[in-house]
Amino acid sequence: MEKTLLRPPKERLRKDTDGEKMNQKRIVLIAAIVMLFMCQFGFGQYRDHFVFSQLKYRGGSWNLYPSSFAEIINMLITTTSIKPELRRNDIALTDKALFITPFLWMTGDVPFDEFNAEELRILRQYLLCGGLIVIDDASGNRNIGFDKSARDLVKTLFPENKLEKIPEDHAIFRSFYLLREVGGRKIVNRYLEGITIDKRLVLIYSQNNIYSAWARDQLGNWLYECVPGGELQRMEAMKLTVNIIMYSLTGDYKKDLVHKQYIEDKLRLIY
Amino acid sequence: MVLQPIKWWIIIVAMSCMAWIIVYSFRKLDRNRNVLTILRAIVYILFLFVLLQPSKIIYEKSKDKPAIAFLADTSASMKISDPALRFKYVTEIFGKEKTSLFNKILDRLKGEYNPIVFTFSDNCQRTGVETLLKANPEGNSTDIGMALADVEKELKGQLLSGIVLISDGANNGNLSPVEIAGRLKAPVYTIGVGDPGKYTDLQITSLKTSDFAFKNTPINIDVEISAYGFSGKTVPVLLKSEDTIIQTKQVQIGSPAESKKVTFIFTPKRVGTFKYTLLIPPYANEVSLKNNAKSFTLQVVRDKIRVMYICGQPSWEYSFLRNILKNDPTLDFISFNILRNAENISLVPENQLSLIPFPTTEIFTTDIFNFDLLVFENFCYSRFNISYQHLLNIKKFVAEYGGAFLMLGGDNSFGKGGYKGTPVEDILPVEMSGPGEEKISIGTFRLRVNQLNHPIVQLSNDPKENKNIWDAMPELDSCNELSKPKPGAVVLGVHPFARNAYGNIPVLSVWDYGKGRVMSMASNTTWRWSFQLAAEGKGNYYYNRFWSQAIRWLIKAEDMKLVHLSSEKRAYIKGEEIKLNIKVFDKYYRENNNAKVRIAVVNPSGKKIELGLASQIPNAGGQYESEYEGEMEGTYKFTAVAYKDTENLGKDELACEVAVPSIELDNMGLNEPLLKAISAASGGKYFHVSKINSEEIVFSGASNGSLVVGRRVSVWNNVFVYLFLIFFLTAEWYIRRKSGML
Repeated sequence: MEKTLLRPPKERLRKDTDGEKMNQKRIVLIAAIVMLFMCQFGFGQYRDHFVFSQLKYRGGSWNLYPSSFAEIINMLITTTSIKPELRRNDIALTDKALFITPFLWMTGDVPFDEFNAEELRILRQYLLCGGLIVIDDASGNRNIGFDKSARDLVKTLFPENKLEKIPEDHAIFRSFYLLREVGGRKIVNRYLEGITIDKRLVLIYSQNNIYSAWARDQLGNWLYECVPGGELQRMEAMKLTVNIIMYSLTGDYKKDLVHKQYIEDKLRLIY
Repeated sequence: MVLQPIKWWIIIVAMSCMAWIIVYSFRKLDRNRNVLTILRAIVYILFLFVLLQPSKIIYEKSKDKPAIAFLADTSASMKISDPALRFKYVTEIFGKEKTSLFNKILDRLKGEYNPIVFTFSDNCQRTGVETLLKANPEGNSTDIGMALADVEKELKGQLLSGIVLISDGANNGNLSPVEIAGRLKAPVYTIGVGDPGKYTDLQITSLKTSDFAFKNTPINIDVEISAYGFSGKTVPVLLKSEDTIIQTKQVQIGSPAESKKVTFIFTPKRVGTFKYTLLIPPYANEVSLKNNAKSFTLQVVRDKIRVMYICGQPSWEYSFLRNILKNDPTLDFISFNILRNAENISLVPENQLSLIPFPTTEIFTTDIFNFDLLVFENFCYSRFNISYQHLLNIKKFVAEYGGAFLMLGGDNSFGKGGYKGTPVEDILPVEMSGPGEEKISIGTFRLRVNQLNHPIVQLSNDPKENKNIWDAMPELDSCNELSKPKPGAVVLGVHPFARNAYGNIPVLSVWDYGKGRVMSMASNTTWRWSFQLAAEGKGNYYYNRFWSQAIRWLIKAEDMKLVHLSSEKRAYIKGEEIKLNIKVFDKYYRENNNAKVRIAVVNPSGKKIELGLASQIPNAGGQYESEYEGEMEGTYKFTAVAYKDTENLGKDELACEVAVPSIELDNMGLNEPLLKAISAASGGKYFHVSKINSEEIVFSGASNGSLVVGRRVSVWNNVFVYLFLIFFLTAEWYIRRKSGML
């Protein structure tokens, strides 16, 4: 895999000189400021594009690895037919524009404030009415910190449903790539957990820090090593991210009968 | 001795009560106690005797002459000529000539027997010879078993020495004549009329199929035919729909009298109620042509609405629509979503991708004709080797096959998708620009609905509420800037402020094209209606209802109705009650228990009759019933109209066939085996009418010895009983008086 293929087009043209680097940094900074400014208002005009929304919440660290987003979008554009919005939509539960983007990504590595009753009500409604939230634990720890906060949140959101392991033959593991393992920066669980309502996953929980597997520095180098599986594990994380997004847009499309034989044949060949 | 049927314990209780009364009454007497006790006891015993009404049966030998019953078949099958008229043989048998069989038998019997003549077909009647000779055989059935049983009953108490049965044996009654003949204790001589060798007939003996079928699903029609006198020939059996021959089967006949089974497998292509006929073309010399055909009514219903959805790229419009369509039990939903384009690169080998080839040829040459609705969302046909011919097939699918087509907007739809100048443009209700000219109107907008009464956009039956719903509907996001509606198209919704040279951009348009219907929706962001209404706590009801109504309107679905009329079966016999069941739903498709349902019927002569209100069935949510008896042969068309208060919920129609039973026309050949079996079971003999030997028709007296007749004589009802009663009562009175007790 060549790094250049995964970068946004403009970055491929960048020349490696100090002066130009500074100019480009300014441009990026200005663009980021503009984008941040625009994101604050959660503009609702996205046409029929896929919008990657990141959840802002109180306490904790909601805005980890900001460079990951661009990498994800780049891969979507390069390898799939999805038309994504090029700007990330940072949004709080109380923002009016929440119900314009049915995909929500939530990440963090420290405990966060409990969601209040209104936030819980909105989030539950969001998920029951067609939305999907991906909660990505970046802490690497079990039962403490972010994990505890997230699990408590899920229990409060859906007291009648339990977080359950997503089975290997679920549509999410074959929505684009055929996956037999889950990736991430650090493997804590070799599975994803989720809540399914009316045959649809409404919440996906990963403890493997998928988001940071995408993070690069300004030179284009990966920021973090993937443990223990190295670059293969990073690739699995990237494929899993694409699959999750594809699942949010196509549902259990890959479970339709027309795909069954093809997929089974391919799975036999791979494994 | 025979007593009244009073239970024994009642008698014991009564006697105990009597004894107690006697003891109690006389317990304080010093004198004459025993005498009075005895007298009272005798009186009570006499009362009990009278209550029990004893009688005795006296058996005496009968002084009547033994009877001989002559049974003549007067059913419609006796009118067959094979080659001579069958009933003519009957008249010859009973003719006035001395040489007639009837007279020959009577002469031989020398007046020692009592001849009694009966005619029978679907009933049995005692008659005289003169009447028989003038009879016209037109009975609706031949029930030999019932005739024998009726003769036995009629002649009970008389000595029945024998029966002479003249018939063609074409029995179609329910009772077994062989069994009844076996218990008669008198010989039955059977005379068969008809000539198997000269009997030629082809008939549809039986027909089995379902009352209803699903469109595009094959059904079996099982037919049995009988052939007499067609040995070695091949006979065609036709299946017709109205006047059109649908299928023909050739049946090879091997023997002179043979039954064969044939199965037709037929796939109805249209929804509705249709009359089908199975027919054997008539041949010369057939004794009857009425049994060459049998008809049936078949109701063809839509099984599931088959929807094929082709999406040019993953989108939330696809995701939300898929969620409701896939979970709709009335839909069979199949989709293809283009997850990767040719210009995309793959980071892994192909076998690690879950992608499948897009089956262009299969879909656009054959598969679409098996669907009811084809949906294109943002689908660029030119990327997938879809040729002009394929697009022409889409047009044919709609125009000729009555299919439905829906195009949703996007960068690869309408003019931007290169559909201008293609057969798909012909079927769309709107005009469009070329790919380089058509733009996307970017920005959110609230659809301005024009035709609020159209069933697709009628989200409430209350016009005011409907308008309010649309006025508050969440915004859509961007749309293709279509040109203008075509003549005849109905524009249901426009962009409120984006305009072109022809006016506001038509966003939602529909029309009928050929036999089918087409809808264009210039935006593929209706999912926002669902998601944002949910945010307002209104759920996704209106979104679901919009698409449900759109699909059902497009495919002209019968089940869009809120009223469903059905009956137990479609074919009835004249005089049989037709039971109707009506299911009524409310506008939310929930069972409606508060409706008024009016039923009307148009009879075969075309007269409309109002049957009044149907009765509600208790504890059967939203169901009502009514009944009607068809007095005429033919097709009856029922209509049910349901109201709730002043709101008309809809109507439904149903057709039923009423026919006169024609079992007599089935199996009209001379049934010698049956006639032989009847005579064998009773100790008689069978003769063919051409070879009767009257000397062999013999009778004896009662086969079980002297016939005795039982006579019942009452014992209690005589004057001596009453005299004894008076005497003992008087005696008791006298003694009590003398004793100073009175």
